[in-house]
Amino acid sequence: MSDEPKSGQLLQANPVRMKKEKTINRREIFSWLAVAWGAFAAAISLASGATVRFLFPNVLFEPPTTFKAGFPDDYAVGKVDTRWKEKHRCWIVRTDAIIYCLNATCTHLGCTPNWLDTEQKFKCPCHGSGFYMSGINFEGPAPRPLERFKIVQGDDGQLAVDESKKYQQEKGEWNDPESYVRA
Amino acid sequence: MIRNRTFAPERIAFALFLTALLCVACNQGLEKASNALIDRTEARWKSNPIPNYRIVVDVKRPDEFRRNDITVRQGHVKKAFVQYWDSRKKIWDNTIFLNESQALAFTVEGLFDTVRLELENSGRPVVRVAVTETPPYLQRIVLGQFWQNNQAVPNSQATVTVQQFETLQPAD
Repeated sequence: MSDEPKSGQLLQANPVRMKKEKTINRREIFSWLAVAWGAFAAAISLASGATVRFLFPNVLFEPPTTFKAGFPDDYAVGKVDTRWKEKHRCWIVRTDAIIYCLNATCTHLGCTPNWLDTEQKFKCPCHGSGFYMSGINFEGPAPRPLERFKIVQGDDGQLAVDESKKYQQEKGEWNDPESYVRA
Repeated sequence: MIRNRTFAPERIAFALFLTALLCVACNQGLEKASNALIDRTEARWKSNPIPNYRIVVDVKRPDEFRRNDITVRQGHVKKAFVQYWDSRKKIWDNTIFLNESQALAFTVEGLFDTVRLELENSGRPVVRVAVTETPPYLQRIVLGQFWQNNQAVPNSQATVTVQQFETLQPAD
């Protein structure tokens, strides 16, 4: 006997068959879960990658660390020159023998000391650290001397200061020939 | 019964918890420093002072990380030194022994004065502190950028953190 419906007979749905078609078995659930988790992990990985990439800009707008400070004769012997203090946060000092550039950052907590010409010392306004003209600390809480910046005399005769290179007295780095220029 | 969970109290509580967590993470228990706060904390310290202690205080600046190790006996600095973190060698290096005037700033009493002087003299708009209760001292001091001539001075910020506080016996 044929199962096909005869003409005019309504096609009745087989409820058992329909139920079978809609059922998702346990294996399929795990497959879908794996796909979902995989997609989620991929999205998180992509987002993390993009975030990390964002931390490394294509172009850095950083000011140059080197500047020309004029000719040695622009600086008086035995004087602390404060002309670069605001712009470059340093002083240029000329003695009988050498010229050096001191970093105007207190070694205690990073304030900017002032040069007191009458007292011939650098004095930090924050906590009272005092430094000689040489940069050596002698009073207050500063634990070590001021740092020197790299200074060289270029081919044009001008002094060039590099703020990215520092020299520390307590490490013996003030003997480095790039920490001063012979006057 | 189907319950509408959109405004379920546990969800609101969880959101509030996350917000509080975010606030704590951002501020790390810090509050704006004021002379009144410093005076109150110092008064509590002085009401029951600890005469013998060892304190380890880290100072972090943009291009420097140093650790002050100070031993105080009967209220006076007995031994003090500072070491600098060498980020290339990954060691504490460049040990410098400190005299009393250098070390005082990182004793418990000195930390109160450090903040007072900052508030008076530095011109830093941001000075925040975290206070511990037992014993009462300034556990963390955050100093924002130093201002000069109406301009923030780059790389002038600093953070001072008490890493260790140890009460010593008189005979130690």
